Amino acid sequence: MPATATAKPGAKTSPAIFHNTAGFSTLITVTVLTLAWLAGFASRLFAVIRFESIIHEFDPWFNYRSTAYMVEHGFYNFLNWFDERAWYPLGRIVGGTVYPGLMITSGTIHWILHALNIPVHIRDICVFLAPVFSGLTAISTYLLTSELWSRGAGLFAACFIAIVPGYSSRSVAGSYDNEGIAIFALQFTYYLWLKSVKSGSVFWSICTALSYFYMRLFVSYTVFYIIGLVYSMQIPFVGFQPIRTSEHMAASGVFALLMVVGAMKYLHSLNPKGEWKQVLIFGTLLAAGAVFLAVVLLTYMGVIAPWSGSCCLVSKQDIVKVALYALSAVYFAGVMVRLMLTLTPVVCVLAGIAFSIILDLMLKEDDVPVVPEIEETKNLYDKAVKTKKRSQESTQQADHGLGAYARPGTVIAFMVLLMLFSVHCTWATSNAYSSPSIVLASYGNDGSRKILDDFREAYGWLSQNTAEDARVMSWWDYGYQEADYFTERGEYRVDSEGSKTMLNCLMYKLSYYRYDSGGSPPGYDRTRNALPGNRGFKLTYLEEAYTTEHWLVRIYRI
Amino acid sequence: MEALYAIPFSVLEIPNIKIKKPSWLQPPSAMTTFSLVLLSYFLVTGGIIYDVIVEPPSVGSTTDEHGHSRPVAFMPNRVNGQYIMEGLASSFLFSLGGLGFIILDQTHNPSTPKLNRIILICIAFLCILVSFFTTWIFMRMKLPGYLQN
Repeated sequence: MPATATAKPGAKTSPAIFHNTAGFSTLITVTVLTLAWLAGFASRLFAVIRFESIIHEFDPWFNYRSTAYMVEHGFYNFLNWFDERAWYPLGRIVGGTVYPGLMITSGTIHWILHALNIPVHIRDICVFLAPVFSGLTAISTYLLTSELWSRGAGLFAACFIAIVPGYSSRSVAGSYDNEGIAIFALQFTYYLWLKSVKSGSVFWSICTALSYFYMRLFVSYTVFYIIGLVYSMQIPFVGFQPIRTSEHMAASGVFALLMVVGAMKYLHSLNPKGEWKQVLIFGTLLAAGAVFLAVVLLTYMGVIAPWSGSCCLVSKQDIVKVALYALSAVYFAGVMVRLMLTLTPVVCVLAGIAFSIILDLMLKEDDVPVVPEIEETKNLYDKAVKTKKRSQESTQQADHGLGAYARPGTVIAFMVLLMLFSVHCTWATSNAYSSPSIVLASYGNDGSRKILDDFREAYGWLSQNTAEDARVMSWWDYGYQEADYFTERGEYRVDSEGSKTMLNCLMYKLSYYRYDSGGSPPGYDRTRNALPGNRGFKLTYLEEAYTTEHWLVRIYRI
Repeated sequence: MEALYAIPFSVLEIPNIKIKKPSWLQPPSAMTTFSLVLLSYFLVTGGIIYDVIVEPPSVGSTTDEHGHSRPVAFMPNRVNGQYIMEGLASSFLFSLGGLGFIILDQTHNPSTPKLNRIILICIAFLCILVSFFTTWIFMRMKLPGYLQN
């Protein structure tokens, strides 16, 4: 790792004061990581503080229900669980169709805590799982970045990813979903993979295999369910280590693949550098069980990866791969905003590296002979946009014309940027991502917050007033609208210009039944800014049972 | 390892073929790659894919209290929706800022004359600052309550 020697901001700059530099840098590392964990955890708790300890959206609710079932009835019963309430008339075989990584994780935590006589309800574990894992993500990002570049960069990256909105959007307290934890698994797998490539040891390879397996527990969920996401989800993973493309194929039929690309593999085995590693890994491969066979081989193929890169890139293939990963992740995030999640970690890593370089150059005293050397080596691989910031300082150092004030000026500018970043992160997490979707917040013209708590009100009413096994038929707008409901101009309107089908359909009538009785002007729909076109009708078969405060939920009895 | 690879070839015979890399196939120059990446970056961050799928209008319009129709450049308060011009303007600024950093990176080439270097530094800083502050303003227009509470 050539760069570790050049950049160790905390430790190397002040050897005179702190003689025990190793201990000192460990102290800094541990402190910063703990603080990052705490900050990341705390910034995800807005929803819990404002409302209650609650699960947020639909998928998390389902995951929570499965987890609760698993904790209550045990893992094997969970695998056999036929849920007659989901997808109501049909029911659903949950155990066989769900990827249980998430449930096992929180179930294990629950089990450990109860073994220690800490009686935490499984719901609280589910709610706080993602924030806790964000701290673990920060730590694994630190490990990854320090493996890639330097420990200082690692600390920066850890702090960034702890609070960055792109990640906290999927991991606020209560969003109990696979993505939040998959990012941790992804970072950790990549770190272990890198480690095993570098050290070539069996231990790290096995760790990688295990971690990869763990990651797949989450990712496969995506594969199974959201087919549109598959490609995009998978390819960013592929992006940072091109050879892994074959891994994914390999997962389906390793040996068939071996036959087909035998010639290619033959070339690989000629690689003298990887020879002894391959033998070791082959031993691992024999030891591993049938299930692990595929996965371990992926690791082995990972060992090969640096070779394929080395023919065109002179140095630092790691960082080039990261840059490639970043680039492809940008494209995928451009396709689908949800994939911002895969872009986020790599951006954090690159930003951490950039900041570490800048501060390293800036805080170092004028030991001029070192500087040009660093420039020379780094020119080869600066690819990420942010890394460019460094050069501004080195230019200024080169011609001392801009000289003396540039250094503190740049430091201040970057401190201001960091501050703005954290303010932005906190704001975004607080305002955009911390609303459980069953509680709506609206903002008045003066910016005051107004909470519409109709859903919880309605659920409360339902649980108080209906039987345990009552059947509730509900409907929500999928967003698909049939052509019959549009007006002639192709609009979707509810006022007097709406289409006839629209004004007379059951849903419309149920929504606007007795709508005249309140508001100013009476019966004005504030969400759609329209006066309903069909008013004052009577319902024949249905009887109104309950309507919430803001008329968001209406319950009828048949 | 080699022994394992050799297994299929104990049965199969390797056909005697020569595959030559076609002469016209060569890696594109650095500048070509850079231009392609920059162009595609501009288009993708501009949400071209969203534009194709959703087909939003290029500029939105709203009705004010007097009943006049006014054009609106930004779709306010919605983070996952945009008008076409809005997306292109923002991505132009992103690319401009990125270009600024890249120019800044090029300035320390020792063969550059001093005057050129200063001009380049000025242009680069201008690009970065303009794109940063304009993006900031865009953000305010997009989310009127940004950083307010």
